[in-house]
Formats: sequence, structure tokens, C-alpha cells
Amino acid sequence: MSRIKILVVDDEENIRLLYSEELKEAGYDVMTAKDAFDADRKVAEFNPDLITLDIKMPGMDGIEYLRKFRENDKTTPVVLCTAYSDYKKDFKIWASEAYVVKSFNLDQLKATIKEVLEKRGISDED
Amino acid sequence: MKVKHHGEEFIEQLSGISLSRLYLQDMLDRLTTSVATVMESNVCALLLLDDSRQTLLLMSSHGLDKRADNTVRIKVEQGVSGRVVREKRTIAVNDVRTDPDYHLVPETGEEWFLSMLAAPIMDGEECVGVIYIQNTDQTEYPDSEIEKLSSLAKSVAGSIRVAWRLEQTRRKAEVLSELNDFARFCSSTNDIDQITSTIINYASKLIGSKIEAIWLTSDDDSLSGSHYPESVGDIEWMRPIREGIVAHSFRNKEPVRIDDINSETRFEGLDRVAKCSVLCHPMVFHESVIGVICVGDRKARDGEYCYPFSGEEDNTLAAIAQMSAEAIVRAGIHKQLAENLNEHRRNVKELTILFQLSLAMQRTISLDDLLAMILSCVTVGEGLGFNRAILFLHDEGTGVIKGKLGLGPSSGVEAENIWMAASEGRANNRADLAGWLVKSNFAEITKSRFHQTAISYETSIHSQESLAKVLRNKKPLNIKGNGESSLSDSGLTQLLQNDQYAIVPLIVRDTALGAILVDNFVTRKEITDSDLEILTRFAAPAAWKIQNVKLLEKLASVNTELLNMERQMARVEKFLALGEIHAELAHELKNPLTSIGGFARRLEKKLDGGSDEHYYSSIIVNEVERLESLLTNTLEVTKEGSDSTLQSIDLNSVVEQTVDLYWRAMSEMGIRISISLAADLPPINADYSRIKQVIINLLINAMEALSKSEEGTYRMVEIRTESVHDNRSAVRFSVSDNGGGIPPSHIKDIFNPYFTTKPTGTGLGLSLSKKIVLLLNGVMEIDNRPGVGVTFSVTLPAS
Ligand SMILES: [Mg+2]
Repeated sequence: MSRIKILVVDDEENIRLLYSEELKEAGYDVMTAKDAFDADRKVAEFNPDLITLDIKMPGMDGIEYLRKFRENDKTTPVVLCTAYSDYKKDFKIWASEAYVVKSFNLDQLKATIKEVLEKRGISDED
Repeated sequence: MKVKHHGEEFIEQLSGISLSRLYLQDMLDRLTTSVATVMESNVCALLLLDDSRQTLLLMSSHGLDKRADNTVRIKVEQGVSGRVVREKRTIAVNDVRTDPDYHLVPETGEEWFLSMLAAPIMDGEECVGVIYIQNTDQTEYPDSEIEKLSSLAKSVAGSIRVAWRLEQTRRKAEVLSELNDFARFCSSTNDIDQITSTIINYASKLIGSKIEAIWLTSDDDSLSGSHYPESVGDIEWMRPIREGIVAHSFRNKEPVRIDDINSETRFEGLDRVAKCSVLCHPMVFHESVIGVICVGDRKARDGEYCYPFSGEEDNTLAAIAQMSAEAIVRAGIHKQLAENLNEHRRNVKELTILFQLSLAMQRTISLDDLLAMILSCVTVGEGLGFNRAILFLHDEGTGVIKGKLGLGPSSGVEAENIWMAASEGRANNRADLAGWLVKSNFAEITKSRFHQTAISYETSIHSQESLAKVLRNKKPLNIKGNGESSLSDSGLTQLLQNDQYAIVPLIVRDTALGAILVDNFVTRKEITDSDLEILTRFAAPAAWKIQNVKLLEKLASVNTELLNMERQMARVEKFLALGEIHAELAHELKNPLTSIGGFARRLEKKLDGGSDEHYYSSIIVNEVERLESLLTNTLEVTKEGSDSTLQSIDLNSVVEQTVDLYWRAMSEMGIRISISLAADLPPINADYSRIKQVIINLLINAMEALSKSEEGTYRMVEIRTESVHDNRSAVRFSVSDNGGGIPPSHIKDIFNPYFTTKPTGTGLGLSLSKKIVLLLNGVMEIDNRPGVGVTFSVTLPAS
């Protein structure tokens, strides 16, 4: 039985660790990437079912990366993680799956991921 | 022999006389004395014919009244001497009382003498004079005596002729020298009065006249403006009357010479009583007659008798008239130039004042200061120099004209003090009138008594007061006073204690804003038309400036509102600036906080429920939770306000929905909730979620205040909405509690972000709410009653 694969993209190591521990505990396969370039490699290598994407990163930021990513991949759901709540408008433009405001409490993130996956009919493969 | 002896002696004396270079008078005096001695007679007299050959002038006498010398004239058709001239022979009269030709000349005192022997003085074939002797007794002159006098007369003729010519030449030279002096004087002055008085002096001196008058042409080519010694003023014939001597000379451009006005018939206005001779000459310059000089009464040496003027004297007066004409014309041209120059100077002064005033006016924007400056300019010496001035303004709304400012002394003593103080202030730099004017102090001026008098005056624009008329007619008025003028109305005259003043209207675009009144209360100097003209020209720019400053003052009140708004905006700016810092800070804090909190939560989950480690972890989790909410709120404050979407909102429904959220929580705290919603509330243009946030913040604030009051006490929250109509339509909602209010020492800090007195509060609630309200152009107010409670109310503009 292969589990749902999630790629966590964030420039901060501690955040990557927190996310991967929490999401692994929630039953997902987790890989991490530290920037947009790294994310591209990991997507190719790992072929994730869902990506959590930090917005504020050095180099290419999350929104820019999302735009680029969508040029090749129209389907893989992406959940944007932001420190702000005013990216609403940008989400409308880029039509991302969802966004969550970053919090130390990851319950909201996990709930959103679950919701998105269910909507897409992605579940643990039999 | 006695006769011969005397004859030899005489010849000796005569040759001495002839050879000496004596003046004519001395020579003749010696001659008559010698002849009297030689002839052994009481009297010897010598007469010479004048230029006209019609009159004999007594040149010298021995034994007669010497005052008659050079004075007495006898016509050739008169007396024994006349007959000698006519018949060119020696004539003896034994007893003058029996001689029909005898003509008594009383001036000489000859009435004592009865016999007379007179011989002609011949120059070749021509008789030039007569020499005669007189004796007190009746004497029949023997032939030898007759022969003797005849030969004496012949022998002296040559010497007399030479001396006479010499004398005439000397006199001519004297006259020429005097005329030269006169000419020099004429070119040395341009004062017309000085010139005319000098003409009169020289005429009197050179011609020997007793009375003189000069008449000059005026602009209309008639004679006017006379110049003569006052004593002549009422002599009719010297005046330019019709058909009179002066008018004739002027009209016909010709001189008039009259030996005796008693026998003159050509002219009118002659005084037939006084014996008088007259010379009158036109003063001609380039063919045109510019005046007439008239002299009269050729005076005798002692001033008692009058004799005709000689041809020489006539010529001298002609020369004087000619030179006078040139001098007077030149003086006239100079006077004209001087007047032009004065007018030019006045114009320059006027322009300078106007320029200085406009400079000064540019430096002031207060109406009071401007008015003070205008009146200072009107009264200061370097300015227009009036003693006092009042500025009246006309209120178009009420139609009332009121004294606004008065500048000047109310008495002479006060004048001195004021002007001395004023001149001290500007002694050093008189040119900088503008600088001094700028210092014109409204407050200082209003302390004066005259100002108090000035502002007590008011009248209607429709009244009959001269001030009202000036404003209605928009024309200046110069009231000359003299006590009875009908224009001089009692109101202002009473006010000023003076019936001589001028009023000039202040006009802008055909509207009279007011007027300036001036008078010369102290100096009593007449206000001339020229003064009034300058004041009128001065009033025009002053009126414009008053208008401008009035507009500016109106603008200033609008500006105050704008300034208030700007201050409000500045507060918003401050919040926004603060917000920028918060945003950066909050963002940097967010990630580490997420890590700390995240792992603390993981620890908390993994550790045993009762362990110290679990408890410590939970503390971290709680603290991070608080910090995170602080950060979230900060980011809300700073990032969202300006981006919020405005829409038309019904405030009542937001209030209702929001209160619903907290209804249960408040009820559980035992709080009684009272809601009062206005029915006619207009919609507002706002961001729904922001308004909701403000209401939530105020509700939470009230709940927290009430949580501090003791359990079981009466707790109350009242929520109201209402519409407000003051300047613009607005809506207001308020949240009141009875939680004891805010301590006065805290009140100034309550909108300060991060100020809080609550153990768990972040302090951002009220500050955030206030920012949102400001961004919506609203106002948040607090009605704080320490010990009772507090009401927060928010007023927002209706859409
Ligand atoms: Mg980041």
C-alpha cells in the first residue's frame, strides 16, 4: 500500500522539520525542498500528490514558483502557506487549491490538506 | 577903475574855472558867485535850455534859494529869461513889477528883487541859456553894465558848453553803468517778485520818478498781477483801466510820455488835481507785449515839486522796459520748469509711497495689520502726511458703515508725543518706509483715544451723512468747512471736532468696501485738490488689498478645517508608519514562533500529562498562542486597512450580527445587554469585516472592563445606533458599559498600540479600531466617567 506523497517547500529548516514530522504523524509520505530550484528536482524525483508551498522565500518566491509549476502541471494540488492573510486576491489570480495562514498549530493545515485531497478524490491507493 | 578891476579879477577867476576839471555844477556855482561879485549885484542865476529847447532849467544861482537849483524850469515863452532866449539879446528891467513879461518863480525866493539884467549865453548863433543878475532896489542899469554882462555871457559860453557836454556824457555813463548793474541783477534771479521790485528800484533811481507800477499779462492776454509799492495802489490812472494810459500803451505797443496830466486829454482816469508827469513803456519780448511799466511824478530834489521827464529819462525807461521784459519772460519759463519739476517730484513721491505700501502690504495677511498699515501710510510724514485718518468699512450684509480704525492724536499735545515716538522709530532709515509700516501695530493703535472715538461712529449706507454719500456716489469729497457748508454734516464734524476733512471711497470692482477719512486737525493745513488726488490714487490699491485680505481671511477659516483634517491624516500616517515597522517585525517573528510553538506542542503531546515537562511545554504553547495572536492582529492593522473593499453597508445589521456572536458569552458573565437601533439610519460606505472588527473590539473591551467588577454586581452593556446631522449626514454607534471607566491617568494612552492594563490583553484592540475608523473618515470618541463606566462612540459619514 503506497501512501499519499506530500512535498513541503519552505526555506526555513525548522519549519520543514515541523511540517514533515506532523504530516508523517498524520500518515503521509513527506519530502522537503528548501527553495524553488530544489522543489523542481524533488517533484521530478518524488512525483508528490500534493505540495505545500511557502510564499516568502529567497530567490524565487512561492507565488512565482506556483505560476511556473502550473505551466507543466495543471493538476497536482498546491496549498500555499502564508504569514499574511491578504494574499486572497493573488489566489484568485493563480487559482491555487487553497491557502493557510501559517500557525504553530498545524491542525488547520492538516484539515485543509485533507479537504483538498478528498475533493480531488485522492486517497490512499489500494 | 572899479569896473576894470573887477573885470580883470573875473577873467582871472574864469580862466581858473575853465582850466580846472570841475564838474558842471561846481563850475556853474563858482561862475554865478563870481559874476554876482563882479557885477556887484545881490543875485546871479544861470539857466540852460534842455533837450527840448522849450524849457530853461535853473542850473545855478547865487543869492537865491539854492534848493531851486536844478529844479526850477521856465518855459521859453515865459518871463524875461524866455524873452532873452527868443530875442537873443540882453534885456534890462528896472522894476519887474511894471514889466508885463515878468514871471515870478516863488521857489527861488526872488520876490525881494525889483531890478533885473539878463543876457543870452550864445553858442555861435544858437542861444543855449540865460544868465541874469537881480538887485533889491530899482536900478537903471547903465550901458556899461549891460555891455559887461553881455561880454561875460559871451566869454563863459564856450566853457559852459564843454562842461555841459562833459556832464551829459558823465551822466550817460552813470546811467549805462546802472543799467549794466540792472541787467546783471536781472539775470541773477528767477524770482519774479524780486525782479519786479528791482525794476521799480532802478526806475526810481535812474529816472527820478516818485511812483512806479508794473503790470504783467496773464494767461488770457489781459493785464493783471500788478507790482508796485503799496502807496501807489489807489492811483487810478496807473491802473490798466479802459482807455487809460497803461491800457493804451499795452494795446498799441507804444510808449506814452506826458509832461503834465492836467493838460492831457487823450486818456481817461487822470487825476486832474495833482500836477504830475508820466512815462509809460510797454515791455516787449519777441514782438509780444508781456507787460507795462508806468512811472510818474518826476520828483524835485526836495520831493516837493513835479517836473516833466526828459528825453534821456524816457530812453532810460525804454532800456529798463526792454531788459525787464527778457528777465520776466525768463523767470516765467523758469517758474514753469520749477513747477514741472515739482510735479515730477510729487509724482515720484507718490509712486514711492504706493510702491512702499504695496511692498509692505505683501508682507501682511492680517486684515487688522493691513488697516493699521494703510492708516500709518496716510498719516506718516514721509507718506501722505495727514494729521489724522479713520478707516471705515461697509458691511454689505447689514448696510452699516462703521469706524474700524482711527489713527491720530485727539489733541495737539498728544500729536507731539505720537509723532515724536513715531519719528524715533524710523529716524535711521527714512527710505525704508515699508519696513516701518510693517511694524504698524494694530493693537497699539487701538489703545488711542482717537481710535475709540472713531469706532463709536456708525451710519447706514442710505443715510444723509456725507460718508454714506461718498460710498453711494463712489466719489471723493473734500469738505472745506467754513462753518456753514451744507455738506458738512453734524455727525462727523462733531466726531472730529473739525469741519474741514476729506473722504475717499475704497472701491473694488464698482463696490465700495469702505472709505478713508483724513483731516489736518493739528496743523490746520488746508486739504488741497492735489492732496485729495494723491489720496484717491493711494486708495485704489489699498482697497484691492483689503478685498484680498478679506478673501484670505475667509480662506483661512476654510483652511483651519483643512488643517484639522490634515492633522487627522497625520495621525493615520503615523499609524501606517508604525504599521510598516510592525509588518516587517511580525513577518520575521512569524516563522521562529511557528517553530517554537509547533515543537512545544509536539512536546506537550509526547510528554506525560502530569509531568513538569508537560506543564512547562503547555506554558510555552500558551505564550506562543498569545504572541501569534498579537502578530496576526498587527498584520491585520498594518496590511489590510488600505486594501479593504468598500461597500454600502447597513450598520444596524452589522451590529445585530456581531452582538449575536457574543450574546452567549456576555449572558454567561451576567451582563445585561440593551440594544437600541435607529430606524432611519442611512447606509455607510465601509468594509464589512472591518466594521465588524471594530464592534467586536469595543464589545470585548466592555466585557473585559466588566470582568474586573465583582461577581454579582450589576453588569450592563448598552449598544446604540443613531443618525447624526450636523455639517454632513453621518451615522453613529456607541457601546457603553458600567465597568468603572478608565482611570484618568490612563486615558491618554488608551489608543496607543500595545498599551494595556489587562493581564492577557495585547492593547491592540482600541488602537486598531481607531485606525479603521480614521481610514473610513470617521471619528472615535470616548466619554469616560471614572468610577461609573465608559462609552465609546464611532461616527462614520453616511454614503
Ligand atoms: Mg519563508
